[in-house]
Amino acid sequence: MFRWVIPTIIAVVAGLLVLLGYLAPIPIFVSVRIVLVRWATVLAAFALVLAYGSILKVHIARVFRRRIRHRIASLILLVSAVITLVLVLLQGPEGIWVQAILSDILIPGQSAVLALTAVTLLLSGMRLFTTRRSPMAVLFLATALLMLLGTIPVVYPRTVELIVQLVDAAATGGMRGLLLGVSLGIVITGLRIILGIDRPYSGG
Amino acid sequence: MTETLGLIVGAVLTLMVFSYLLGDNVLYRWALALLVGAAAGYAVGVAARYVLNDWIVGALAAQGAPDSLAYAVPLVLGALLLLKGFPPTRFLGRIAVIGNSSLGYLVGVGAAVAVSGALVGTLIPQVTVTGEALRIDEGGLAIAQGAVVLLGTVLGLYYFHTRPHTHRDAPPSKTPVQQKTERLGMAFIAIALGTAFSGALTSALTALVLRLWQLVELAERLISLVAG
Repeated sequence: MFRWVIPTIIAVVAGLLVLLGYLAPIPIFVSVRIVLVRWATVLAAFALVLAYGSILKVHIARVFRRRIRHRIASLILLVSAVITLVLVLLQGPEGIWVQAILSDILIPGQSAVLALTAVTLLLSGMRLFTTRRSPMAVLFLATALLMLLGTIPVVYPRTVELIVQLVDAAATGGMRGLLLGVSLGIVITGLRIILGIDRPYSGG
Repeated sequence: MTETLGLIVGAVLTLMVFSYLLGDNVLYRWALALLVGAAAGYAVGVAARYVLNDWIVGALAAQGAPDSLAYAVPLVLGALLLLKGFPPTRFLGRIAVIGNSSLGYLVGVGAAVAVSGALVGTLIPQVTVTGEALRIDEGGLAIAQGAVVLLGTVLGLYYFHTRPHTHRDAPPSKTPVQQKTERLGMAFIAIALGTAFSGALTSALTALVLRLWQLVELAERLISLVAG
């Protein structure tokens, strides 16, 4: 009963009402949709707390378990997670210390990780060329190279400009095909959940 | 002075992350642990403050049954969801199955938002602009570009939907025309991914230059401090 019957009824009713609120712009449906989505944001916040608890549980176990590698990393994660949470709860997101964590730790750290991907992307591109010389791999790398050259502010001959424009159009077409495919997939998966065919919430 | 201290912390963290270029090492892992912990703490702190300030305080101040109900429903569903964090050996863990209702609500609403977003935000606009791409009244190059976009969209979609093969050794179930069309679609996808790759590389290189520039800026400040 509680495993899947009631959850399925709730998922189907809530999903249909929200979908109706988006697709049928009738005031009563729109009002119901706004209330239901606001409730979902509260539930998402609770889900975040649950995930945070799970992270803490895993890393506390790692810190106190013997013969396990990278215990100090787990300890650093625990300390930084708890201190940041306490500071945000006490000061709010605009607090001085929270802003310091954002501007001196999170932003530089995350942009350093992004910067690191420049090297890994370059290396993987080179590795692709050496290990898999299929026509598609060559096309992929040639397009990437052409697009990178296109970002350099130099006046190119008219023929090169024409090629870049046509490749750009081909990339737009390919990306649009991918986007449409992904969207169709989302619609089908979402409808299966709303109609109760798929029940990812009944795991127990 | 505080600004310089912040720069030093950022620079040390940057160097710890960049140490990965020498191979997987503890400095890199410590930097990542710090980042993950701080990001998780920040996100949960913001979410908890939202629930506390906007919902729990609101529920306590609510007057009248409908108002109280509107505040109570998500809080009760949220409390049921938290039951799923308890191990199944304990009593609260054994009744955690009640939390499936909250999960069902979250998944149902999430699916409806995703479906409407995909329909209204992607499918309808993308199909519309693809149809409008081919314009005869704008000259030769525009016609060629529109035709390529249209062809790329149709073939990309075709490739995307005929992709799953049965087995490598199984006899081909597609006609030669279908196979050629699929390869053409694959070429369009390869071009699209190549463009996306170059965009990602450009963003990452920009971030790399910015981080290196901050290191240089810090070195300049330290030199000027030492030099008086």
